[in-house]
Formats: sequence, structure tokens, C-alpha cells
Amino acid sequence: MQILLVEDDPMLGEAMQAGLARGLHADVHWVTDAAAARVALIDHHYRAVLLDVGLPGDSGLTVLQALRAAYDTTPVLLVTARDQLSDRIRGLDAGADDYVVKPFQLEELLARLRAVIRRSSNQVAPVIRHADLTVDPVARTVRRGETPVALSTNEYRTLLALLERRGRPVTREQLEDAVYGSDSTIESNTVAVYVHQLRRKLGDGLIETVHGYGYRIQEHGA
Amino acid sequence: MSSLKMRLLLALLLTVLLTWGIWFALQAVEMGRRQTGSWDSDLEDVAQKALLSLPGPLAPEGEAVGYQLPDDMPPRPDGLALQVWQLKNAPKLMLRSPEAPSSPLVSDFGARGFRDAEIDGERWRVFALHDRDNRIQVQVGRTLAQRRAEFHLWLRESLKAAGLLFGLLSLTVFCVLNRGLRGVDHMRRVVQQRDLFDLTPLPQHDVPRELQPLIASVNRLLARLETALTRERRLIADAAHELRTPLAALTTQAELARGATDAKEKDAALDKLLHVARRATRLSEQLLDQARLDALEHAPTARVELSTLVALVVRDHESAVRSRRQRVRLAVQPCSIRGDVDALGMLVSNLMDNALRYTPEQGRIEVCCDPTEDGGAKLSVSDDGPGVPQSERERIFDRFYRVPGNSARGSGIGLSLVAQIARLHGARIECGTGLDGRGFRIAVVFPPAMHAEPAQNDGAPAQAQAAREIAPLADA
Repeated sequence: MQILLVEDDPMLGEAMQAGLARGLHADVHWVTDAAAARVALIDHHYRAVLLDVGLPGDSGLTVLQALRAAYDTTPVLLVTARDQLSDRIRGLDAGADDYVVKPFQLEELLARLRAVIRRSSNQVAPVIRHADLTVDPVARTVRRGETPVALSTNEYRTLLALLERRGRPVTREQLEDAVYGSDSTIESNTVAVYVHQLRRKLGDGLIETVHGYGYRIQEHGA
Repeated sequence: MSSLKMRLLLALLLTVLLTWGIWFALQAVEMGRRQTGSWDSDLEDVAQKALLSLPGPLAPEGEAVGYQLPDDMPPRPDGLALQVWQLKNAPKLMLRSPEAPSSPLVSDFGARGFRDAEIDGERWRVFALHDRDNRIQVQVGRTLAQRRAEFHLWLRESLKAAGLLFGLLSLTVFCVLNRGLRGVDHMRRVVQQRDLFDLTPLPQHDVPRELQPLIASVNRLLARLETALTRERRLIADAAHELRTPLAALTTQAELARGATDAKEKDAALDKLLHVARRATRLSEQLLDQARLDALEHAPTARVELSTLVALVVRDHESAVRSRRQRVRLAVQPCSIRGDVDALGMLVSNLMDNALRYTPEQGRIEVCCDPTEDGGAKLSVSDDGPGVPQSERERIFDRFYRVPGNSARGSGIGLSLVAQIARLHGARIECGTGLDGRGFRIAVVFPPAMHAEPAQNDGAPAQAQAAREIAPLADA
């Protein structure tokens, strides 16, 4: 399993490389700047990318944007500083799969990385069409008619989870799992916020509320 | 031309010049006005005086010998000509001043009053006056050339005086201004010679009263800078001190780990090393937050969806929550405020960090974010930990303040950051009791976003609907 590590700090990079090799038995390709990362991503097919946002010169976000612009859905795990929340939000909007915040615990990093890899390998990837909505899991794009709709990673996952179980109600817990992974310890209603955002972007009629249970998308789009 | 001195001087002197110019012009017009002007009045005066001072019977011109002026007094060349004519039968010249011609100045003896006449190619201004019984006529005249010469003389003399006055005035104004502005010059020198961080007040004596408010404002600014600088110096000193302890511990633990002989001892030392490293990391993160926040001067205005931000930041603490086996409940409703994403992230993160730190293992924490009635938002973090005594609730927001007797070692920076960020966003902080009638609760109440977003028209009903739907979390 080949993993690309983009990290400019030598000590941290070394530690991450060693940790990944030990924890995932991965073959870690380590580069230290955005330009090298772009070249590496063109030449190789990685199982996942571990991308530091705060690179010297070009931001790690430009690497992510270039990758997604080329319809490459290699899972990307962002590594960001705690006080760079705006970068992180931009990263998630630009199609990062998840993030860890520096300083992270190695276990946490490995768990998140395993999760994004598992998620990407589960994809059977047929294009989903529903009414005027087209969702392409391979390209990670959502269109309404011909118009692309920009969704953040969490909104996208919520929508995908609902579409994959079309016709059946989906519980809030199932949606939480789809968004955050099943080992989340935080009880929350944040999927309601994502549903709210989806309704705002895709119209009110798409997602129904099943009271006391969860949400549902009807089998046949009206 | 920005010198106050030059501007004042110029304005003053121009005004004086203009005033004088107008005055001269008016005076000249006044003198030259027909019938009532001073030139004509003079003629009339002289005519009247001459007529009234003539003795009754007059001998014809040339028959009586006139009087002479004393030798040491030359006749004044005022160019005034006087003739007295007897009107009985043919008019006969009885009397004339030396300058007057022997022919009548005005040959029409029937008329009286002012007249313009021309005699031998010279233009005269003449006043003719009869006595009551029409026996004699007095004619007083002056050539226009004479009048002009006199006017020029008057003008010359006046201008000389005015010039002198003007010079004197300029000098006085200049001196007074110079003296008055000496305080400003002095102030400039004082400020120029200052050291970089010399923030003592500027001297206020020896400065004109008009400049006192300016100096006072500058001094107030200096005082505020002094306070800020002192605070920053204290922060640096305190931060260095705070960092030294964990760093020293770090070194010692590392040495211990290296010198450990069996694996168990080594592991124990490494665990401690890890713990200390995390503490140092957190401290440096908070100091960085502080530095970043200090650079953020102005109230930020970007629209921020608080609920998604809270959801993101709360999840950052997931591993800490897991390792302490605490339970966190997150109940958010869509609400947007205006602010700075990074600063708000720091605020939520520090509130969360604080709650986790002061809540015992297996404790409960609840994070809520709801829109308020006035269109703002309320973010609250509650726990069921030991809580904070009423008397300490104000002081916990002071930098480096720690609640005495608390075993959890916080840096004392977190809540001061929270307070600072709240202030920056115009938000209000409320403290209260946490969950189940115990613990602690901090709420941050954000004011409504200043401008309604255009997206509101389609968002408003959806938002209300979402709010209704999110509520059932309690029974989930």
C-alpha cells in the first residue's frame, strides 16, 4: 500500500513516516513541498494522501485543488494546525476526506487514515441519478440538471448516505456514522445541520423528515 | 504651503492690504464727488467766507492798493482762485487773488453754483455765489490739474504712512506668531529626541492653551500604549516562565527514560515525557493563539455559520474525550453570525478544552448553539464538574489566573482568550451553573449580524423548519 506524505518539517515527517510504516505497513513516499507533491500525484497511484496544509510557499490546499480538478478521488487526509480553522473549512469544501489537527496522537492519525482508505475502497461507484440530481461518487461531483452544486465533505456524505438507502428512512445515528465513522464518541445532532444545508442548496422537497426517526429520500424522484 | 505660521501671516496681511485699498478708493471717490465732495465743498466754503468778510463798498480792481503777505511767508500754492465782481450795470472785477485771471472764471453772471469752465485751454472747477441783494458775485475756482496734483500728493503721503504701518504690523504679527508657536517647535524637538519605548507623557506647560487638548489626547494615547506594552511585556515574561517548567520537566523525563534499565521503567518515563510534551504543546498553542489574536485588530465581518464551526471544533477534542471516558453532547441549530472563523474556532476550542480539563473522568459536557430571538446566536458549554465559586467567576477571565486549589493545571490563558475574542465580536459572556444543578456553564451571546443576507428570503422558512426538526435530539 503506497501512501504519499506531504510534510515540510523533517522531524515530524520522519516520525510520521515511521509511524505509518509500523501502523499500516504502508510504503510511505515522503515529499516536503507542494510542487513535488503535484508531480508525485501525477506519476503514482496512491491509496491515500496525507497532506500538510501549512507548507512553505504554496499551500497544501493548492495540491488538493489541483488533484480534485483533475477528477482524482484519491482520499486526502489534511494535517492542519489548530488555529487554521478557515484553512480546514476550505479544505473540506475543496474535497478533502478528513483532517487531523496538529499536534495529533499517532493512533488518531492511523485511525482516520484507515477510515478514509476503507471508505474509498468500499465505493462501487455507479453514478446515482435521482430526479434532476446526478451524483458521481468516482468524480465526487453533484449536479442539479447541468449545474454543479458545491457541497462540503460532510454534506456530500450525508447526501450520499441518504441516496444509497433511497426509499428507506435513515436514522440520525446511521447518518452520523456515515459522516464521522462508527467509532465517534460524541453524541450530536449535527447531521440535522447538514440536512439543513443540503435543503438550502438542493431545495426543500428532496429530503423528507421522518419524525422521531431520521430522514428519507423517496425512491422515485418527483 | 502648509505652515500655519505662513498661512496666518499671509491671511492677516492680505486682509490689511485689502481693507486699505478699499478705504483709499472710497476716500478718493468721496473727495471727487460733485457738489458734496470735499473738493467742491472747499470751493463753496471759501466763496462764502470771502463774501461774508468783504466790507460794504468795494473799490474796483486796480484802484485800491491791496495788502501783501509778510516776507517770510510765501503764498501757498493751493491753486485756489478768487474773484469778486460788482454786478451793478456792467460787471466789474473788484477783487481777485493772485492766481485768478482778470477775466471772469464764469462769464454767465446770472447763474450760481458749481460749474465746469475752460479758460485758456485749462479746465477749471468753479463755484459762483451772489449776495442776497445781487450786488456782488464771488467766484472761486481751481484748475483740474491742480486738483489732480493735490490728489497725488495726498495719495503719496497716505501710502507712505500705510507702508510704514504695514511693515510694523507684519513684524509684530510675525514676532507674536513665532513666539506663540515656539511651544510647538519645542514639542517637536522633544518628540524627535524620544527613545523608542519612552511613553512618558509630553510636557504640558509652555504650550499655548489651544494646543493643550491635543497634547492631552496624545498623552492619553501614550498612556494606553504604555498599558498595552506593559501587558505584552508581562505576557512574554510569564510565557517564558510558564514554558520553562514543562521544558525542564521534559528534559529530566527524557534523561530518566534514557537511563532506565528495564523496559517497564522506561515505558513509565516515556509516558510522563509524553504527558509533559502535550502540556508544553498546549501552552505554546495558546500563546500562538494569543499572538494571532493580538494581530487581529478590527472587528471581523465575514459571515460564519456557527453551527458547522462548532461541530468541527468540538470533534477536534474527540480523542481527549475518549481517553477521559467523558460524554459529550452536541446540540446545534443553524445560526450565522458575523466574525472571524479562526478566532471563533479558538473561542470554541478553548471553551471545550476548559470544560474537558475541569470535568472529571466520565463527566458530562454539553455544547449548544442556538439562534437568539433578536437574530444573534448563543453558544454555551456546560459541564457537571466541580464548578466555579461565585467569587471566582469574574477573575477566571483574567490572563494567567487559576482557581486556587484546583488540581488540574491549566495555563490560565484559555478563558482570557475567550473573553478577548468575545469582546472583539461584541459578544456578551454569561456564567452560570452547569448540568444537573452543578458544574459550570459559560455562554457566549453574539449580537445579531449587522446586515441581513440576501439569501434570507429563501432561507428563512427553511431555517424555522430546521429549528423545529433539530429540537427532538432530547428524545433521540
